[in-house]
Parts: sequence; structure tokens; C-alpha cells
Amino acid sequence: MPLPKRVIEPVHITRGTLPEDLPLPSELEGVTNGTLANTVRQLSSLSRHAEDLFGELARDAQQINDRSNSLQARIDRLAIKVTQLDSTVEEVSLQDIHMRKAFKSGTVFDQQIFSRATMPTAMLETYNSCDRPPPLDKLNCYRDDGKDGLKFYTDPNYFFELWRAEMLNDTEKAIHDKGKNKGHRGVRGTADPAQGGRGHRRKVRQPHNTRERHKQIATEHGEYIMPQNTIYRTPQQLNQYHQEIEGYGPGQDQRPPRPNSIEIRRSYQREHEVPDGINSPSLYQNNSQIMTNYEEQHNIYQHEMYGQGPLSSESLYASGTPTRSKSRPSQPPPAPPSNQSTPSAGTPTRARGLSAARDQLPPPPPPPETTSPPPNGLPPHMHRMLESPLRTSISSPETSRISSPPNHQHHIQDLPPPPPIPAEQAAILPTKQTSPPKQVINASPPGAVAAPPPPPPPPMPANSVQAPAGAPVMNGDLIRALTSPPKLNPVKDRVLGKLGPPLADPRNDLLKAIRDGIKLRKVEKSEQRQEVDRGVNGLHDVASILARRVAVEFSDSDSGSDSECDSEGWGENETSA
Amino acid sequence: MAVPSGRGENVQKQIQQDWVNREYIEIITISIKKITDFLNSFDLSCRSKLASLNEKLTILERKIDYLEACVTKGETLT
Repeated sequence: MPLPKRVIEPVHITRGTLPEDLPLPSELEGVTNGTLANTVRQLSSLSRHAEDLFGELARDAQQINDRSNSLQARIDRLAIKVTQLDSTVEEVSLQDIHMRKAFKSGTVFDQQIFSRATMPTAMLETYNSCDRPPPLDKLNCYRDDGKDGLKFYTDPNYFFELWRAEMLNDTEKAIHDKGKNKGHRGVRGTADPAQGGRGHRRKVRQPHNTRERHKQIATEHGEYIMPQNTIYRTPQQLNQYHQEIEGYGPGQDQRPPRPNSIEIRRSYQREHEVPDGINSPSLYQNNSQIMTNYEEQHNIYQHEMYGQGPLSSESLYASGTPTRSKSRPSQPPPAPPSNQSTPSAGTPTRARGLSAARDQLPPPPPPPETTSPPPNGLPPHMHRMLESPLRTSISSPETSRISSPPNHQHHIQDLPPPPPIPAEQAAILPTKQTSPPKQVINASPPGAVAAPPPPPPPPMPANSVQAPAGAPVMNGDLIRALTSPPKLNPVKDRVLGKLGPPLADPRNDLLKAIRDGIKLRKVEKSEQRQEVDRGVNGLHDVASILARRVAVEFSDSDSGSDSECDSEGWGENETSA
Repeated sequence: MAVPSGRGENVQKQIQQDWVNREYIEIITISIKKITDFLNSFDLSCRSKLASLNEKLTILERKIDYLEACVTKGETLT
């Protein structure tokens, strides 16, 4: 039964206006007066409803106004940021890559839009005028099964419970199916179990298209020039590349394009050799570096294209690929020797960013690393200290300072707490973290390099802890450096007493992992797991249930599309760097 | 004869007065109806316009979300 939202009362203004108990001299006038009185009541009811109506409208308009204001602020901020973007200056450093988090939308979706809480007040009044359900819940104490007696009469959450149970069942089923599929894929997967399935699919599907297309194109345009910096980003580009490779072949047979492809790849190597070919051994290294770069982007495509033919061992290029692909996860790619002199010559890989950064650094002072008391605590911190001058020399100090806090939080969220550090160490950490940017700004780079002093002995009081932090400030600002940390200390001590250990440990892990060449995907997985856990715990939330379901259903395809996402990300980095 | 005629005149007068009153009340009631109709249509049109604005704002917010995520280097993320 539809209920009107607002009812102007009284409805029948003339009825019942004649009082029966006392006689009136003129009944018609009595009725008229009563009717007029009811009309006035109607008017008052109308004005009340009008006030309610305008109130709702004003509230909505205010809400929209607030949203548009905040949106305007965001647009302004974005405009400023976009104008500050400079692809030539900016270097996507290693830390920036790690501090990039997966996009997480802050949009809050409306939930339970038809509940009592979101009901308009006029409607709520109408509902309140309804009869209450009989107080069957008072009989709960006499029930043996523990169920709510009122729910046998009315249960507003019934349909939500129904939907929730269905969703959870579906999710469980999806998880189960996914486990089975993973098992299958692990059986038939190649090197990478997560990408093996996709690779297989592509292997089966792609060549037919490309060969057919390349036939046409090769007949039409005989000469195709291999582009120098081919970024194998999308399958379309891959197709192009494939066509270009085989477009050179005189015979359009599908079997023997191998020898032709060797020549083309040699020209490809030479093209790369010319710009930064300074010394002769760099040919293979260049080649391998390009190859690793290429592999990181397109493991699948590389398997598909180069590991395909039986004659692949003939070519220099293809002979390098299997060993390279096997050895890549365990050892870092070799640092190109010509790279430091010409940093913009080629496309940067992860390892190159690290190696270049390390080579440009002055030699780090060895004693602090060895004398640092906790095994996990200080070395990463020292690394950051060592890398901060470099980053500030490349980019502005503001960026380094800005970009460090999300790093902390990032690690705090995602990683388990490492073994606790004594309070003195926690007191040391904040002073050092706050000090480096200031030193870099004021002092010269050697002063900044000398910034990590050996940590003071733990039992020192807090005042003596401040001393080494302020000590390396050479060119003035000594007073400020000495006075400001004690102000910061009480706050940061407390914060970093908690924050210190988690930010110390993951950095260690990160650097080690980067050196080992392992892909850093664990963080996202843990996030996803968190999401799933939250979905399990917060079962009364529509969004969490849906998020869990979506996470479960798309995690399969996500792991499959990792390579594509990676390649696109790398492509952007290449162009920006 | 005079009394009934006078009574009939009185009754007629009363009825006429009653009709006048009823007409008056009718005018008031029609006015109330007009106000109500206007309020309803105003509410409806305002709501539809606010809803369209809301929709546009949501689209804009998503676009800004996307752009911010594109531009950001991680420093604004919490």
C-alpha cells in the first residue's frame, strides 16, 4: 500500500464541526465557523509541511554545495600539481615506485538507502503513526531455542540476511573454484605459475592473427624500418613488432622466419649500440639489459616470440633468452657500464635505477652500519639516509620530504611488526629522520653524506641524543637545529616509538628484495588479504561483502593481468624518465 | 402570514449567507490546494535538478579521482 509522504490534515474540513451537546442559535454559522477553523488547521499543517520540504531541499542543496566546493578545491590542487609536472626533470626513482600504492578510491557509496535512518522525516512520522508490532519479544525469556520471538512476526532484516547468505555462499564457491583452477594452471604453467595460463592462451591465439596480418602488410609494404625504441606495451604493438620482424622475410612461409629475424635483431642491436656503445663488451650487455627490460615488461610475449622456434638457439639474441629468463629472479641484471655517463640513453630498469643510484653515491661510511646495535633497526635507516642526498640532488628536497611519510604509513599498514626496539633507539630515529632534509638544504652534499653519525650509546639521556643530529649541520642553523628537535621530540617520540620498527624493517626487506630481483608484489597481496579478512569480519556491511566478492572474483583475472599492468606502468616510467 | 414569510425570508437569508460563507471557504480551500500543488511541483522540480546536479558531481568526482591517481606519486596517499 503506497503511503503519501505528506498528508495535510484535517482532510474533511466540514465534517463533525457541529457540536452535538450544546444547542446553537444558528447551526449554519456554527458549521461555517468550524469549517473555517479546520481550514486554518489545514493551512498550519501545510506550512509545517512546506517548512519540512524546504528544509530538505536546503539540506540537499547545501550538501551539493559542499561537495562542489571540495571538488573545486581538488580541481585547483590538481591544476597546480599538473603545472608542476615536468617529465624531463622528474626521475622516477626507486622509492617513488615503491611508494606508489594501488589506487584506492575514497568514494563512499551510499548504503542502506531505504532504511529507517535515511527515511525522510515526513515519511517517518507516517510510519510512526502505524501500530506497533505486538511486544512478542517480551516472551523471549520463555523460549528455549533462543530465537527472537518478534522475528516470527516481523523481521526487517530478513531479506538482507537472505541476500547476505547468498552472497557469502557464492563467494565461498568462487574461492573454491579458484583454488581448483589454480591447481590446474600450476600443472600446465611454464615458469611463472601465475602468468602461465595467460601465456598459454596467448600463445595459442595470437600467432594466427599476426601471421595473417603480417602477410597482408608484408605484401603491401615491403620495407619496414624497425623502430629504435619499440616499447612493447600492448598486444597491438606486439603485433606490429611481429609484423615488422617477419615483414623482412622474402618468403612468406610461416615456418622459416628465423634466419631473417636474426638479421633484423642484429640491426636492432646495432641501433642500440650506436648511441651508447662506448666499449665493445657493452654490446652483449646492452643487449641483455634491453632484454631484461623487455622481459620484465613482457615475459609472456617474449616466451611467445623468442622461445617458440626450434632454431632459436642459433641466434645470439635467442640464445641469451632462456638463461636470462631463468636467472632473472635470482640475480639482478648487470649494470650497464655506459649508463652512468649517459643516464638518458636507454630505458631504465629497476635494477638500473638502483645501481645508478648506488654508483653515484659517495662511499658510505662503514662504521655506522656495523656498529648499529639492532639487526633490523638501523641499516635500512642508513640506506635511506644515504639515498636521501641523492634524491635531493636530483629532485627538490620538498619531494623527498613529502614522499617519506606515506612510506612510513605504507609499511605500517602492510607489514607485521618487527621485533621491538629499545626506547632509546626509537628516540634516535626521529631525530635523524627529521634532520636530513634540513641538512641537505643548508649544507653541501658532503655534509649531507656525513649526516649519518654513529648512533650514540643507548643508555644516554634524551638530551645527548639530540646532539649528533644537530652536530653535522655546518653552515649555520645550528641553533635552530638544536632548538627545534626538543620541541618535536615529545610528539615524534611517541609516534615513532611505534612507527620506528615497522619502517625500519621493510626497508631492509625491500632493498634486499630489489637486489635479489624479486618482484615486489607481496604488499598488494597482503592488502587484498586484509580486504578479504575485513569482508569476513564485517559481514553486516553491504560494501564489504560486495568488496570481498569482487576481490575474490577479480583476483583471478588480476593476477593474470599483472603483466599487462606492469608493462603499462613501465612504459609510463620509461617515457617520463 | 407575516410570520412565516418573515421566517422564510430569515431562512432564505441564512441560506444565502451560508452559501456566501461556503463560497468563501471554497476559495480558501482552492487556494490551499494551489499552494499544495505549487509546493509539490516545486519540490519535484528541485529534486530532479538536485539529482542531476548530484549525478554530475559524482561523475566529476570520479574523474578527479582518476586524475589524482594518475598524477600522484604517492605523497598524497594516506
